[in-house]
Amino acid sequence: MATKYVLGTDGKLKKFVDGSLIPENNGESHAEEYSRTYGEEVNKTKLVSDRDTLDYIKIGGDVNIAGGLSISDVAIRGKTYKIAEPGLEESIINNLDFVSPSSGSHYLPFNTYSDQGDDEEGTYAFADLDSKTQLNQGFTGDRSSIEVIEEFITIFLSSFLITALLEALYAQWKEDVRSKTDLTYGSYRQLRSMNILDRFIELLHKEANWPKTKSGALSALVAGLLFDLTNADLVEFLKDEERSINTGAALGLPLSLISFLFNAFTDAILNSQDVFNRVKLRLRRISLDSAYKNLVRKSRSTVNLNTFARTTNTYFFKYIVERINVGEKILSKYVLGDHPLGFNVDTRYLPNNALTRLAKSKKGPFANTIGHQSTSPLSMTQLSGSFNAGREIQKALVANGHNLKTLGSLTTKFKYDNQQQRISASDVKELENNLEAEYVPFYFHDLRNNEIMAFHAFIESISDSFNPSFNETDGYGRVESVKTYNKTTRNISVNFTLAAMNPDDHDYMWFCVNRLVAMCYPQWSKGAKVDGGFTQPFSQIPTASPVIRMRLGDLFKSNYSRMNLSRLFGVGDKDFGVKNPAKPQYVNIENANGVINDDDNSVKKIDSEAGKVTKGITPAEIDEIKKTSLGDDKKFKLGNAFSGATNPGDTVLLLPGIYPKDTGIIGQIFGAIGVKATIPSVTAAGRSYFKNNEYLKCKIKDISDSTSFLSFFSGPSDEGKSHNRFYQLQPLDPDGSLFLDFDILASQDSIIIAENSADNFNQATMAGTDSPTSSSPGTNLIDGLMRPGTDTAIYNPIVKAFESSRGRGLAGVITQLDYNYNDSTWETSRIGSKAPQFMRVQLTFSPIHDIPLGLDHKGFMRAPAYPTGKVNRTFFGEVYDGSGGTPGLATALENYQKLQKDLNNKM
Amino acid sequence: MISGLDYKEIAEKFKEDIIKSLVKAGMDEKTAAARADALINGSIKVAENFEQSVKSTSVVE
Repeated sequence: MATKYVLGTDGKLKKFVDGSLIPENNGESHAEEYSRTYGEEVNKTKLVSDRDTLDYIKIGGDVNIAGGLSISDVAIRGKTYKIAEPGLEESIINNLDFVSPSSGSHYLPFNTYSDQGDDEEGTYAFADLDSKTQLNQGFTGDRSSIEVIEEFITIFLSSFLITALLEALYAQWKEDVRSKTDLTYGSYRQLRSMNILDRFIELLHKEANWPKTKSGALSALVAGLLFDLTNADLVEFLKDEERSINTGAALGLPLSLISFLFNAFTDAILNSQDVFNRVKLRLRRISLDSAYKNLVRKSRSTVNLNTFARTTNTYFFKYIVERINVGEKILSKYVLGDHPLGFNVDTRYLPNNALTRLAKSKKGPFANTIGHQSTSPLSMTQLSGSFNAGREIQKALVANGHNLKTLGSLTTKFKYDNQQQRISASDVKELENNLEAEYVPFYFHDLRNNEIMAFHAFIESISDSFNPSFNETDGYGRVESVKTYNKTTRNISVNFTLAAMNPDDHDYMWFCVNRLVAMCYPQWSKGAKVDGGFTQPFSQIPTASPVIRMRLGDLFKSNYSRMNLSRLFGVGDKDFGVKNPAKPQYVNIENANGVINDDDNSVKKIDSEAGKVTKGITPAEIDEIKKTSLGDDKKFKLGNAFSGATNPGDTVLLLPGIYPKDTGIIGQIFGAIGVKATIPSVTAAGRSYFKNNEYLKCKIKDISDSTSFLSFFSGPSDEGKSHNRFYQLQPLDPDGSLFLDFDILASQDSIIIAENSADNFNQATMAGTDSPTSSSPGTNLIDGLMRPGTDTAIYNPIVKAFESSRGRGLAGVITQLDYNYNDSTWETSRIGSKAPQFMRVQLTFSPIHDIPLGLDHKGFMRAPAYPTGKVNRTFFGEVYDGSGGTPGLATALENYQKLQKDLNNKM
Repeated sequence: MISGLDYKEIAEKFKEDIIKSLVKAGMDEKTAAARADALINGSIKVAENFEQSVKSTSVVE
């Protein structure tokens, strides 16, 4: 029968016989029972019988063993004993409190004692828990894994419940504060509204150190426990489970996380001696603390009413708080995605990108280069063909022994394109979307060739002034002159310091300085050719003025957006509408008066009898069209005048005429022609044709843009027409009176497309989007009216012009550029680079607003001077807002999030 | 209950996990279920004691 005493986490001694818990006997606690039996025995055997020398008693002070073991006299409390003297042991026991048998409970080995003997390493209660031996070997008692698991399950569960309780109170308090906060007196709570809950929360934070968490205390606690008591890859788990963890909710039970904890904990206890030792040390600490506090409490004669202070002062509670703090850090990094630099990381090992540039003191672990040097940000410089030729000359010089330093790795920063006059707008957009992630985007965008020079600079001062001016007219007897508005000038002044961080940076900085200077000079013409050969030197003349865009954070920024520009088109006005856009052409039947248009793109009348094409449509024919159901739409366009997409399923009108029937199958041709029509089975002469005497309503079955094989399909009414599309049409024969159970093949010239029959011309619905309550006001406007066009086609020339030179910077011209090197140290160590290492730049800038400022005729602002923040973005849009209401910042945001995710994965 | 929390309800949510852990550690299922109940009750008692101590601050009714 094996008897075992175990100190529980509640500080009480528990007795087990053969692994079963034995209840207390007649009110005598197990501690008392233990003390009465084993404790006494232990003290006797250990101190009297087992220890055969006095050296064991290391109490110092009153006991003085002079000379060690060989000495014969021992002095105890002033009395000297001979070693061999009878009664010596008794005297020691009687004189020293700690060896008194009645005080045996002080010798409870922590936290287990079995009748097989003492803790084998001689670890006693209240021993130093951090001793090296214990940390190495963990708890050396004979507690089984299942006992430890059980004990810890209780700890887990009760800590969850306690956390839930405090979080519930906290949530109530927050709700309470919200409901009572009187905004009319400011957002601070009035003293009189403080209640007992307020005081408790204050107590909770100040006295009990209860942490404030963003991820919810319970989730944080579990994460913290996982980190301490298991070997699980918590980070991997969180990445997988991040959606299922109920974070942010005060009472949210992170069930999946807790299941994971139980599972991982059991695994670790059973499989890892390391974790088992650690867990037992935790258990020991909690038990010890409770036992000690119980002892202290029992020895007090007065009753401590503040049990809250006592409870929260236990190691158990402090352990919960500590775990919540640790877990919160983990969750906020891996689940909430907090800024990674909130953590103590060695920034040298982080990737070099926009998010880390300013945080990193060095570019890499072994680099001596600072992170935010001038060469770091993304600039885009064009190298023209003439430069390339210049490089060839340089190379030749090098080959001839001239030691010219090449640009080396810096050349990768240059975009070389021999053909382009200008870097493309899409390249600019891509670069600007990347620059958006920088700490503060600061760059100059030269609109002449779309080069962008991005800087790392120390901004020293910024000023921005608006000066309206008025013409003053005086009148006799009128004291004050009449002020007539003339103009407003805006002047921006930015002072910044450019500094080189290393030799490479120094070289590149001076290139940037030159490029900035070039923004104060014109672009020159090609010059006059001499007899078609070389150019006459100095025949070049200034052509393009240096108009640039300057970007500084979201302060100095372009106010262009399709939304702002569309309002200059009158979008939003009640009388707004689109009539007769250049292409495609409409035929307004109501106003047609017989003949509509005469040019090639006009509607053409077909003489159905002769199958010949004549011009114009008679009023009678218009009436015929109006009789069809399509006639309600009133606006039509002829197929060949239409360049947009028509889709299968659209309804069209087929002009009167003679067309081939699509019958008699000999095979289907899909790829080569693209029409899923069948080739008529007989020769052209023997084809079967359909004579259409009216404006026949048809549904498009298929379309081909192919022009080959068309003669194969053409009927008499399509002869001589310029086919750019071919249609397979299914006649709509609702009542079956026409017996039209075949398809018809017709060219685009032969069909009339009703304006509303397809969604291929959104302008038709633009006037209807006037209402601001519409679910997506403006969407159609942007898609239709504000469509700039493609690379080859222009839809809206004004939008196209704006967007060919757009950018996020504020457009304008530099009116003054000062460099000041007076305070600078110089680079003196390198031949050819002896110049200041840093400089102060004073730049005065006169903006040319994309959309001039002021109020519109309805009284609302036309565009903002500072397109900053969400409110302005909602009202005035963003530079790169696209069709269909795509937010302009979407790509920039995606880039940013990708960088952040990469960064999180690296840490 | 000052908090309005049902400790029993919360703790029961983890019963399955507790039983699983105990079985994994070598206990038979029947004993594990009984032990899980005992452990849950023990934990609830700890939480209730804690709640008492919260009340003892006299600042929470």
